[in-house]
Amino acid sequence: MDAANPLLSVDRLTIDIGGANVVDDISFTVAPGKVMALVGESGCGKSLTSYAMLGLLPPAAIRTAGRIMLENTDLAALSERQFRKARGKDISIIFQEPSASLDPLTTVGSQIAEAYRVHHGVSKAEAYEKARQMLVDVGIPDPTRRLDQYPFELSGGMCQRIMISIALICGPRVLVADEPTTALDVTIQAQILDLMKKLVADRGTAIVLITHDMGVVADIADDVAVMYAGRIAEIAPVHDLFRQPKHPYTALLLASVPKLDDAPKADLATIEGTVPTPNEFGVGCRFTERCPLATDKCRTEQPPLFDCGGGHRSACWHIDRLAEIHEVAA
Amino acid sequence: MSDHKNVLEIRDVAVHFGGRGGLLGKSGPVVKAVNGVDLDIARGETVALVGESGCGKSTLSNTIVGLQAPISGSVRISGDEVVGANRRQLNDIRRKVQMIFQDPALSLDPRSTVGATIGEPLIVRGVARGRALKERVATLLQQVGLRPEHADRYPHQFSGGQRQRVVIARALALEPDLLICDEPVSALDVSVRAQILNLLVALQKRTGVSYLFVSHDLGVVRHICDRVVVMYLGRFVEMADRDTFFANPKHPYTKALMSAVPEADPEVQRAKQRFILSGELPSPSNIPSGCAFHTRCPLATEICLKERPELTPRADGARVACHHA
Repeated sequence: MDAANPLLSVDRLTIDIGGANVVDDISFTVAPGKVMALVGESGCGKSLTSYAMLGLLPPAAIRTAGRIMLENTDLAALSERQFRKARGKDISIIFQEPSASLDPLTTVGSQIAEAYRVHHGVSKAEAYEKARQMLVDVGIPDPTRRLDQYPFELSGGMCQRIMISIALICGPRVLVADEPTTALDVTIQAQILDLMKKLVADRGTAIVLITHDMGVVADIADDVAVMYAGRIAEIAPVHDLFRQPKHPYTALLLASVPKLDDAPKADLATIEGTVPTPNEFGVGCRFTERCPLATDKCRTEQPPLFDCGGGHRSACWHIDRLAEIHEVAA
Repeated sequence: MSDHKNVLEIRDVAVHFGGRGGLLGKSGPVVKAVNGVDLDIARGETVALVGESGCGKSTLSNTIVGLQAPISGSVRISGDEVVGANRRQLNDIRRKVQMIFQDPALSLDPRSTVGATIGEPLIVRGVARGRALKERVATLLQQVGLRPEHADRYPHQFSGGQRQRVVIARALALEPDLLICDEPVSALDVSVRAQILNLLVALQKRTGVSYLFVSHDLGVVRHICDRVVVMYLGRFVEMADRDTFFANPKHPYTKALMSAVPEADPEVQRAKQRFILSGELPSPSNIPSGCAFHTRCPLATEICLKERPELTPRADGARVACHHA
C-alpha cells in the first residue's frame, strides 16, 4: 500500500446505531489509481462505512469518532451544504441496483448532464456534449441516440455504465462502488470490472470497492480489508491475503469457496453459527463464538490489529496457531 | 419413490409467450423463452442448468413442475406426463417434484410457524396427522440440521441460512424424486453457502433424490453437479458430464462464461486467458437467425448467420451446438 501518499484515509471511524458500535474503529487508506476492497458478509458494516464517506448515513446511524480525510479535508466534518459541493466532484458513489438509482422519468442524457451542470454551471448544450463523451469513455455504442433514451430502454449492464458516467463526469478523485456488479450477469460483470480497471488506470481514480465476492476481489483489488461484525479482522495487499490469510475468519472464508482442485461433492469447510447481531457483541473478539481457535482471552479482550509486516495486519490473538485452521479446513 | 429409471424426461419442449392481441388490440411479438429442449435426469443424479438472465432457465423449471404449459413437447416425471395432465393428475405428479428458490425469506409464510409450514404438505396429502405429523416434522428438522423445538418458531427468528434449511425440509417432506433448486445459495452469505451445499450433498446421499440445479455460479456447479447443461436464448448449446465440461469446454459461449466467472485467487484470476463477450443478450422476442449466439460470437462466420447448429455428440461424450467447436 502506498501509505506515504494516500489520497483518502479513513482514520478510526466509529459509527453507532442505538448504542451499538456497528462500525468500530475502522482505519484504512487508498492511494490514487488503487482499488481498496472492503469485504464482508451482511451486517459487517462495510456499507455504513461507505455511506459515511459520502455523508449519506441514515439518521439512526451516528458517527461518534474518527475522521475521513480526502487529502486535507475531513469529509466527516462537512456540513450537508458543503457535502453537496463535494459529492460528485470530489467523491462519488455507484450502487448495486443501477435501475433503482436512475430516475425513470428523465432521459439518461439529462441525468448525466445534470451532474455536470450542478458543479460547473455550463450551458445545456455543453453539458450534453460532455455527457456524450462520457458515454464513449464507458464504452456505450451509438452515444448520441442513447442520450435520448430512458432507463427502461436500457439493459442492466447499460444502466450501470450510465451510473458510472454520472459518477465520473466531474472527475472525482475517489469512487465508492457498493457491490457494483452483484445484480449483473457474469459476462456483463466481467465487462464492468474491466471498465473500472481501465478508468482507474486512465484517470488515477481511487476506488473503494464494497463486495462480498472473493472472486471480484481477486480480480480487481490492490488491497483488501476483511470486515467482521463492524471491525476490520484483517487488512493486507491482495496477493498476501489470498496466499497467506492471517485471521481465522479469512482463512475459513477462503476455504469455504469451492476450488478448482476440490473433489466433487466433498465436504466444504464451513463456519459454524451465524454473524452476531449488534446486541450480541461481546467485549472480546467478535468472531469468538464461531472460531475454532478461540480461548478465554478472546472472549474477554479485544485483539488489536497486529502488524505482520508488508502492510499485512490481523486482529487475532492466535496468529501463531493459524496452521490449525488449515487443518480444520482441509 | 417409484422405480422408473429416469426421474425426468423432457422431449422437444417449447414455451412461447404473448403474440396474441393485447388489451388495445395490437398484437405483440412472440417471446420464445424455450425452443425445443431435451433433457433426462437419472435417479440420484445432479444436473446443473447454467445460463444468464433471460436464457429461459426459470421458464423451463416452471414447465417441469407444471406451472407453465409448453406449446409443444413432453415432460415426464418418473414416467408420468406433466403436459396436458388434469388437476388431479398434476396433484399426484407434484408430490414427486418439488422446488426451492433463491430467497428463502420470500418462500416462507411469516405468520406460520416453521412446524406448520413443513407439516402442511403432509396434512394436505393426508400422509400424517396428530402425533405422527409432529414426529415426522421433528425428523425433517433434524435431517436439515435444525432442532425439533424449532418447529414452534417463526421465520423471522431464523437467519437466512436456517430459513433455507426450513425451505429444504418442506420440499423434502413428501420424499420427492426430483428437487429443482433455483439458485439456492445465491442470496446467502459466503460462510453459510458451504453449509447449505454440504447439506444438499448429504441429503442426496441419504435419500437418493435427484437435483436440477439452476445456477450461474460455475464454482458451485463444479462442486455439486454430475452433469452440466448450458442454455442460451431458449436452447441448450452444450451438455456434458462435469469432468469433460470443465476440462474441455467447447462452445464459445461456455468458454466466455468460464472466463467471466472470477476465481477466488488473484494469481489464477489475473493470469487467466480472458474471453470477454461484447454486447448483451439479444431479446428472446427477436432471436437472431441461424445460431442465436452469432451476434456475440468471436468465431462467427457466414454459415452461423444462416444455419442453426444442432446439438451433436463429440468424441469425449459432450454434445455441442456449434459449427466451429
